[in-house]
Amino acid sequence: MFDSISLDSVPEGARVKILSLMVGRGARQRLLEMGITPGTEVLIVNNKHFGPILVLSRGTIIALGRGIARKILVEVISNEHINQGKKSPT
Amino acid sequence: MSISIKERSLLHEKYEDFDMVVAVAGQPNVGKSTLINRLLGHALSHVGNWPGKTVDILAGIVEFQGFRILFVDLPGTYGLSGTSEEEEITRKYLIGVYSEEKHRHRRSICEKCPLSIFCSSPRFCPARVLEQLVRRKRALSPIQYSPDLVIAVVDATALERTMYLAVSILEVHPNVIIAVNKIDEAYNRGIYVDVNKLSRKLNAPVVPISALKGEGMKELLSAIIREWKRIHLRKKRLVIDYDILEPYIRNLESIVRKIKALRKYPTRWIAIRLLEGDKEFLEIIRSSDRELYKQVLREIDAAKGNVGMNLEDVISSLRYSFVSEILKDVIQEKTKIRLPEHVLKTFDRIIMAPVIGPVVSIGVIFLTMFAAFSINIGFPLNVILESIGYQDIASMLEEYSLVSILDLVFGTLLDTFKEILISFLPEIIVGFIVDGILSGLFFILTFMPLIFIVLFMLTLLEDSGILARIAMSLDSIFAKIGLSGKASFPLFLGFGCNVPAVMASRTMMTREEKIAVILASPFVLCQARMIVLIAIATIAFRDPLYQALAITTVLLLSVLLYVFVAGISMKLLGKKGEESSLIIDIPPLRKPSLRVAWWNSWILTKHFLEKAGTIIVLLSALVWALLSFGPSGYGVGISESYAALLGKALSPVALLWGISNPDSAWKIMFAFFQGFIAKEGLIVTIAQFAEGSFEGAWQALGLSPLQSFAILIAMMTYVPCVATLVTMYHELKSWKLVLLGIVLMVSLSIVLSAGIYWFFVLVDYVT
Repeated sequence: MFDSISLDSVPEGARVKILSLMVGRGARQRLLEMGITPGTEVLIVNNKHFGPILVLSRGTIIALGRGIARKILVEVISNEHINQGKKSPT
Repeated sequence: MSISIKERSLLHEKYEDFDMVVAVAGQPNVGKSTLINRLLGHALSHVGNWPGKTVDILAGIVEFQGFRILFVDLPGTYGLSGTSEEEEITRKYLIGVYSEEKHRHRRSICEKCPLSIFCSSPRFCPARVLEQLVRRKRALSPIQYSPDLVIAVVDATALERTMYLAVSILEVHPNVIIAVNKIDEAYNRGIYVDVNKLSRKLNAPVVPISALKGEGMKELLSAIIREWKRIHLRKKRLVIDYDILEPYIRNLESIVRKIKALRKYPTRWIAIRLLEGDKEFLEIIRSSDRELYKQVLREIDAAKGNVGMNLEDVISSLRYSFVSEILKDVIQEKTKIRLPEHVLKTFDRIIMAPVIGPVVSIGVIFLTMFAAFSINIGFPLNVILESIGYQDIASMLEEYSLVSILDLVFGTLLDTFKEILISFLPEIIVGFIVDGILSGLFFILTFMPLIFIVLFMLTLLEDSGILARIAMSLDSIFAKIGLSGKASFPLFLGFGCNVPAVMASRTMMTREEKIAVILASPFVLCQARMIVLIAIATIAFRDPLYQALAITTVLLLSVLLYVFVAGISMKLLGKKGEESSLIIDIPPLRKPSLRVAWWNSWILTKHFLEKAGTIIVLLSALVWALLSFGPSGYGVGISESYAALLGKALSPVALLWGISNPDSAWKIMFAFFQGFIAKEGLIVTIAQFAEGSFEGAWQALGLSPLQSFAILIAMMTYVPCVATLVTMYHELKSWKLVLLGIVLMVSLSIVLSAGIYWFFVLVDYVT
């Protein structure tokens, strides 16, 4: 088994790999179509332990409710904290 | 697949005289409606419904280079695999399930014409003119034609995600044109898309466009004509390598080919659908051949066993890998940083903050509704202006608000009509025309600006990306009752008007959530009821403190009821393991297009008018009849009319609030009856009993403040107005659920109002 944790417990700024989706059929289809497929790498843009979690996946920001995020298992790849304020594209 | 198209006249307009049908598909936020607006903006277009579905369809004809193109706007979806109504419709429409067999092929002679490639304009082509004279085509609703071409709209700034749908469409349909939208925005962000390379890789035309600026429209239309002329040349659909699943796809394909009912659909695609767990195709196979059905099931099980993962996960992952592979050297980005600019906007950081976020969201909602109200009725801006000393502006605002202007115009028109008609027609017919039909018609016309304004505000918020952020910031509050942050939309729209609130239910994540918010929406106090509330509260209570208290209590109660009803319905409806948690993409913040918002809300308002108009006018005529006729015939006073009899029959209900005076009881019940058509009816009816003075009429009822308060609560909650009911049906397509909604409202209304009354009576008695 991988070192898997649920998406809602990953800190902001971490890069994770999606391992599995433990959600119902409707939510699964929605996630898959939006690009949250097993094996995808996503960046946690926002996680405040309150409200939805924002992830950057395939160039789009996706907001995931905590209920869903709890059921998405991921593997942390890197855990660098990004200072969002300073890193804006030129 | 057998789908009976029950509603033959789905659209008021049926189309026959056109050369090709072009469907337009795209994910939400790719700018599809902007494109549709660009293409159809000036053309005659119509909105209708998909058969038996609650999803709107928009169609219109555009003429280009002498060819007439019928555009059909498909609902915005992220993919084609899902179980949502939108995805089912798109899927079925693309493979031609809805189409009439006879009209599937060869609508125009040009398609067969060997010279068509050289033809620049068919307008004067003798063969075509002859064809049009000889062949009589049957006019059909747009969905009954299968699409010749599909335009898949993708977003250059989020190409990978939006290409997923385009690729899914390429797997289903052989003739797809890819429109890469927002090409200018992408360029500004340093993203360069090599459209020629993309076109070669996908073997499909790719056209860069900017729908917002109207760039690339001619090129897109030319590409459509060019593609259509070569339609017979290219019949191959895109084949994605599904790796480990390929042997199973091949086996399933050979089984599918043996099934007659599925022969006309793309077999490879059906095989993939079966692996994705498509219940409808499975059912068709089961009903046509038991043996083959068992083989299919065995095949699917074998695939599952071999892969050891959810098949849907595998298929989607591979499809996405295909997209990434294709895009590898198609996109060039100047900047290495993958974090898009838009995440870092200050507004985002504010709205994502724990407590401030929801407060800001509610503030935005409040301001939006404030603007909508002020434009429409002048309230509450007039009160504010008055209190800071600008009486003149305040009264002007009130006088020149949309509703007062319309009231004035329609009032004058009604009087004039009456005067003219009475000179040569009997009174009864004039009464029917003016008080029955025309006043009903004018009522709905006065009511339309509100729906339009609220929808306009909604589209602006949605288009600018603010709506998604509101949903996000309020999600944790709504998650507590099992709903997603999107459930806040009907709540705030409802304060303007319940009709757009119910319409907003279509953005919900699941069918269950949609039903839950539709049942809860009519509890939100709309503008009409707000007026009734203020009118009654200011008369029933002398002390301004009690007035304010009563108004606030009722307002809060309506919000609580919305939350309570939606929460309970969600609990009862919600399936185990299915969650209504938020999954939305957050588009970049941008300036909304007023033009698109205007057009969108106008189309929706018009569609509402078509749906509800007749019913409201008919009901208005019925009410007129009930009011003007009595057992003794026409021309009796109100108190002798059938309406009064109805009120009298209902008067025992008033005992619930301790009203035993029969005269007051029937008048109140009579008002309840009238309020069903429109909530304003609640005060208008009562005012009739004192020559138009509402204050006098209310005081004549002789109610105690407690009784007034109980009745106020009953009036605010007892039943949705007709327009809301029609919209509820339109969104639910089930009379049972609409009836459930009514029963729910009536019973809650009785329990609450009578409960409050008797509770205080008891308290009073004990102390």
